[in-house]
Amino acid sequence: MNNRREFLVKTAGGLAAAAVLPELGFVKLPDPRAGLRVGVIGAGRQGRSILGELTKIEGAEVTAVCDVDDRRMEAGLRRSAGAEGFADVAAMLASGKVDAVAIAVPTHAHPEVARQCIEAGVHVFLDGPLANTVEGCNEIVTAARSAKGVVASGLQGRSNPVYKLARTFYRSDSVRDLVALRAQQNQKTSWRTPASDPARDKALNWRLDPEVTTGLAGEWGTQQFDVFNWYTERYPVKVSGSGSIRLHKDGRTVHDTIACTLTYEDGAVLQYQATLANSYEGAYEVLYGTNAAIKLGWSHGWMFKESDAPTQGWEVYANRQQFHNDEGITLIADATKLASQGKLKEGIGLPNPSLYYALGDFVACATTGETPACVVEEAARATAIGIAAHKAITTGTEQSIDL
Amino acid sequence: MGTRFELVLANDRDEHELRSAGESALEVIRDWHDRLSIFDRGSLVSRINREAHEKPVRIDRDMLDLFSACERWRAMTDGAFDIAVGSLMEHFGFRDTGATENVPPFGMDLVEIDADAMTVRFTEPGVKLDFGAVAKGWAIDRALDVLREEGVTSALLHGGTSTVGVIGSDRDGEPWRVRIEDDEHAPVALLRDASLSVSAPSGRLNERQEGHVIDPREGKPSAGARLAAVIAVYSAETDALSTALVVLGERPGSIPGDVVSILPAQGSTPGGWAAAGDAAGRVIVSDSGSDQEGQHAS
Repeated sequence: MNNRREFLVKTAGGLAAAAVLPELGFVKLPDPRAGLRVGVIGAGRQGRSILGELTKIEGAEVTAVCDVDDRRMEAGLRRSAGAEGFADVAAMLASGKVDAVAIAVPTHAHPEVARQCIEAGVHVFLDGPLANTVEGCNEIVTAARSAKGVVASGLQGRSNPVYKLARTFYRSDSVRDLVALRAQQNQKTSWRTPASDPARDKALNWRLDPEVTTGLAGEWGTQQFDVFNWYTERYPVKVSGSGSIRLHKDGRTVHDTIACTLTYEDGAVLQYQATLANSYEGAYEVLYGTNAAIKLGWSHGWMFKESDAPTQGWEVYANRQQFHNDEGITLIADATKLASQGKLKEGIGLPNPSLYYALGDFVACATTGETPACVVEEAARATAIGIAAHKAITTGTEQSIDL
Repeated sequence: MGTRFELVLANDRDEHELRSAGESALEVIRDWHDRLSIFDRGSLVSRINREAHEKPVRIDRDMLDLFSACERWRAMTDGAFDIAVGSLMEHFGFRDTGATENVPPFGMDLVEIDADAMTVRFTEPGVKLDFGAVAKGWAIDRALDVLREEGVTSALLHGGTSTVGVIGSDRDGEPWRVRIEDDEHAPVALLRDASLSVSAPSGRLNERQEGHVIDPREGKPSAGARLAAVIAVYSAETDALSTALVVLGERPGSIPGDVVSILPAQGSTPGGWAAAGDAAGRVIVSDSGSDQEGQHAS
């Protein structure tokens, strides 16, 4: 927060930035003819989502799909136009068919697969949390420092157009001094992949394996913790929490419901909760300030102003949504232009999922050599927070966060 | 796809295993929704509609299979089924965009599918794809594939109540029974590893009270049958052919015998029905209150 005052001085009239941000829409590379050849490693649910989004990005061509599981590889190949299948990462890298890889293997396998790919000199996109241990994170960060290509983290908030726009408001005087932070992720789902035999079950259901999982705090929370890190440019210093199994009493020991409290050095608090037992309100993050609160819902963003907050003019033209007793101003780039075209409907959101923009940023950076929106150093910090939160929840003891 | 899907899993298996299998099946439906929805600006179909006139748009193997199947049904029905009627759906006011003044270009004759390059391209601007007559069925088939892979032997999955696909029999070992219309005298489909689709133009009407089923041969709302039902193995096939039969008003000879069709009987008393194809044991048609299996099979 201390740096924000300084920022305000440097960006007088910062709110006007909302009107000059690039139009929301579809990723186009500087030179679509460049044709980045991408291999997707891991063709499970997330890998197939990556394949689907890559198909939409001009300049990216999926040339390889790699998975040790035959059924998954076949499903992945069906999401591509003529890619070659590989059961082994080394063989795929040695084939010379890829300039870049998107890694969507289980989190605990990230360090080994990422190291192989970085050493092979290809550009690397690493989905989700960086690793399941701090040591694993450090391993990747060290390897990335000597990488020939771009190494990007798949923490998606930093490339999400709504989040980028909302951050300009947060970094201006619209929110003013931070009061508190809150986030949740609720989905009613078992987190279990059906598997007919025990070996396959262990491989596919690694998120429910207490030996390797970082639970809801690590697997889901990390994405959201990074949003707060990015917005506030600060990190929590300690975390406490608890968890339980509220719905999925199928023999699992990994909690299906958690809550934790992350505390910052100045006493500010981030409350986080996640559950697999209820889907109400899904996933969002809220930053409460003395002038306004900003709520981020991945495809949408809103600002809720306090009645004593100064009027800044632009609100007059803004699209609004009612949330019980509160009125939210929709944060979307080009709102005025969209309204004039009759396209600004209530709750208008991003046309693509966050993953699309994260991949688009990666492909663009791999093509131009620019720095990706989320570098592995930042991903390592967010992941370490998720790991500490998981440990606090599973052990019932407060954990200090040393980044 | 703008509708609700519901899944019944009737196996005598661990509830938690069934739940995870069901979640995987519904995930497949969400995935196809993300690709085929015309209401979602980020979907593949929206992108094709936006860009395919300017340049070829890449598709994947899954989509190529869907295009191939749609072309097969177009040929089988002599053009009564056609997925390139999106512009007409807008023109006649069946979309949020509102009705348009001039008749736009339409029809798969204006769409080029390059199976080698895996691309789709429109030869005229203004053409739009609309998979509304087949998307639910296609997604249900893919979801049932997932359930079968996971060892599910008894399941029923429907999309918007207009297309239903089943695995095996119900929990009593009997065929799943689905009435084709909310009328106690309407025919009942007996489904075992089979699918049923029902199409009716009156399901959605525009401001001129025209039904939403388009006749792609005439380029205007269909004046054919008031309802058509089809029973076959695959949901995509029943979805597509039931739409085509509404347009045609009668069953063409090109439809294979193992596909059962049910149409309002020509010239019969109100409420009469005619089933055609290998209907024995697959449908109960009742005109007089006494049910008879396959009574009108021909």
